[in-house]
Amino acid sequence: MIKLTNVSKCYHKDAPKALDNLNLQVEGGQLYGFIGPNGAGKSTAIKLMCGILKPDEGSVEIAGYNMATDRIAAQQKIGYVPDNNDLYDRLTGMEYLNFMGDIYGVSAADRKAHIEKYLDIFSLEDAAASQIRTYSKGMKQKIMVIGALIHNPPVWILDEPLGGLDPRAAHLLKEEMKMHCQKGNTVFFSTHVLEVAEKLCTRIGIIQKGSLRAEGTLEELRSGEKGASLEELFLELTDDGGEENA
Amino acid sequence: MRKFFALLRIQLLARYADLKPSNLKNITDKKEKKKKQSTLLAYVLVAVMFGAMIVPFEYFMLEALAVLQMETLLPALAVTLSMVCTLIMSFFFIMTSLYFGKDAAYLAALPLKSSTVLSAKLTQVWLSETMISTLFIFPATILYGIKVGADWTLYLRMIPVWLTVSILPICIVTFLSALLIRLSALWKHREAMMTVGGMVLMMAYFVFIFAINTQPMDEMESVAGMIQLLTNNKALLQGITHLFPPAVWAAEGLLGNWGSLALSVMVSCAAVVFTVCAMAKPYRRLSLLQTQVPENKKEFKGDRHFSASTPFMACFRRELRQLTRISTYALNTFPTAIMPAFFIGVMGAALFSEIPEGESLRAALDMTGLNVDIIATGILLLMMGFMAGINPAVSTAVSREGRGGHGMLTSLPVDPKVYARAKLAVGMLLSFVGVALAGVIGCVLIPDFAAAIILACVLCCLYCYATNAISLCMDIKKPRLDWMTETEAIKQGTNVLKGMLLSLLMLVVLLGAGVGLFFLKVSFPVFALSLIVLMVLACWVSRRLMLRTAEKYYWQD
Repeated sequence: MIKLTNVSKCYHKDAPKALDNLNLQVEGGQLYGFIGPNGAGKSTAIKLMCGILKPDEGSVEIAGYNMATDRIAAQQKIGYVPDNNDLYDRLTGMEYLNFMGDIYGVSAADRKAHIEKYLDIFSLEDAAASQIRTYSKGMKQKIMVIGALIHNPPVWILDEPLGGLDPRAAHLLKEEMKMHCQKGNTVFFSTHVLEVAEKLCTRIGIIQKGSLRAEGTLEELRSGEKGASLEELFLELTDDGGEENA
Repeated sequence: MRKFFALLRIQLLARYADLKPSNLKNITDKKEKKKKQSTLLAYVLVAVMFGAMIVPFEYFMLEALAVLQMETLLPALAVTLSMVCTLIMSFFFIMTSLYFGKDAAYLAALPLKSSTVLSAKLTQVWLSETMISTLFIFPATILYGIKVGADWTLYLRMIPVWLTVSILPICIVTFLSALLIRLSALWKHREAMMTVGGMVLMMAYFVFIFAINTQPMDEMESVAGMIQLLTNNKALLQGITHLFPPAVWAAEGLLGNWGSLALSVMVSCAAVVFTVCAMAKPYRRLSLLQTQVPENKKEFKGDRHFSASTPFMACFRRELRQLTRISTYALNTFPTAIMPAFFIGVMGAALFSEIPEGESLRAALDMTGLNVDIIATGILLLMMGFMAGINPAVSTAVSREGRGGHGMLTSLPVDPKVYARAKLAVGMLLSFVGVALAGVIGCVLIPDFAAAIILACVLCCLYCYATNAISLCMDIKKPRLDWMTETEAIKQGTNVLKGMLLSLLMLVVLLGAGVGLFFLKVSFPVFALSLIVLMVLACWVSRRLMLRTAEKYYWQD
């Protein structure tokens, strides 16, 4: 479902590569956690997957569509939840959701079913007619999630989705991510919270300085280090001799 | 097309959300609701006032043109002015909408063609600009039609001209803005570009006004005054209307040439198609470039990065950096700050050119027997004080902190008086730079009045100190912290208005004192000393008030 082949990205001529020859493959039914220190390249990788950035080298494929040649078709398969949810504060929740429905070509009946279902799950029915600016941070995050799921995307990509959510909302979102995966879809998310990745993900990728340091199921990652926790593995894999992680 | 309309709808809803009745109905907070309703009312009043100004102006102009047998110049001028206005006003709208919008990355992740995004954004710009064109085209055409007894086809032709008049300028600005961003890598310095661009545009506007308006406003509100103005600027006005061929076609089309009308509409439509086709791909790349944070390549070495200073200096620097680095704040404070210098420069240059060589302005004025130094001080003070008084740098200093920033600052172990002093100091720095610059320019251009200029500058600085301190009191007492955009913080708070009104009131009091001293026929040194003492007293009182208010209310949420 998601395939990155030899992807490199550099923002400026003199700057180090934000992504360096990254190879990644996430299949349908997998819940993939992407972890790494600040500035490791997580958001860059996600932006490349979503078509926001173009790779300098390599290719990105989403559900069989090449992002360089079939961008629109590839993006049609994605539901994206950005880390910044302060985008359309002046719209009401419903206006935003209808916009997403229009963009993804969701029929009125499907739209109604999806929106009602998710508004109920995330307890947002009473707030849907209010402007997003009146929402709390968690509510804004929830409305973005509903917007991303409105077309039931085969690939769901979330950039730091749990920040700002209260425990109940975080639990609901995690459950939704699991359910989306169980339907055979792909869920890919970046996080700093290792416990979440440890408990939730079927596969984990650890990125540092633009390249994938380790990848696999938690058991596969632990194979070399018996009994080690994900935190211990993460610290070991991302320790570059005391260098600052810029 | 479905995606285009969805995107256009969301853009319009986001921009005009406050005008939507259902949004107003859903506000539960009564205070907030009243505030929104008064804002709406204010918008309507401004539009009505603007219309009420434009219609009589165009009426007098048409009457004057009729005397000169040049009636057709009015619709032609309306078309040209409409295009020029769009060219200037759409620049910032297009830059903000196309390149600096915070949704650029998000839209790029959605299955939308670049051409769809670009056309939706440009349509939004076109709709806004067409609304502005209404103010030029409609009154001019209707007045002209009534005057010459035109048939219904004039009003029919007005519709396509009105709808297409802003298209070409928008297309031109779209290309220019892309070129600006692409060629000069200005995206790395967008804040500076917006600030400098704003200042240049404002200056250009005033230069244009000074160049064309050689008559006092009250004289222009009569047919005789208007005839004088038109006769003086006949060549200039005719030149303007023939400067841009598409404007000529549109004007000719409006006045009855169907061929020119068709040509004008076709050129506009072709321009849209060409712009969207040519710009779609570069637009996507350039807009996404804006979402990347520019890399700071400055070397981090040297002791200056670690120099310690007082909490006051830390607050002062923070305040100053906030003003200089956020373009909205810089645009609303810096041009206003240097405006006194600009006005003095223009006025000085005008006086300089009026005086015949070898003659002295002072000698000529002294013959009136009046104390011209006092009069000059009064005029200069009025001008500089008015401009300095409308600067929102201090009257929004606490509001600009926002809810989060205010919370953070109040959690620090800093005396609230220090915050207040730092905010006042930054405002005073701006005022001082503007006034000092005005003083230097004035002394160079009109050396005969150096003493009056210096006194006006000193008084203006003292006046700024007093008004800024009181404005800050009001903002400390009732800051507007719940804003979403920086524009709301610096422009749309009631404290800005209160600060301006208070400044005007103080200026009236100060000038009243000056007029009183003038009629008492005191000498210039006594006049100067009296006003300085009065202003120092006002500064002392306002400073004490400010510090007390800060101590009492800064912590209050």
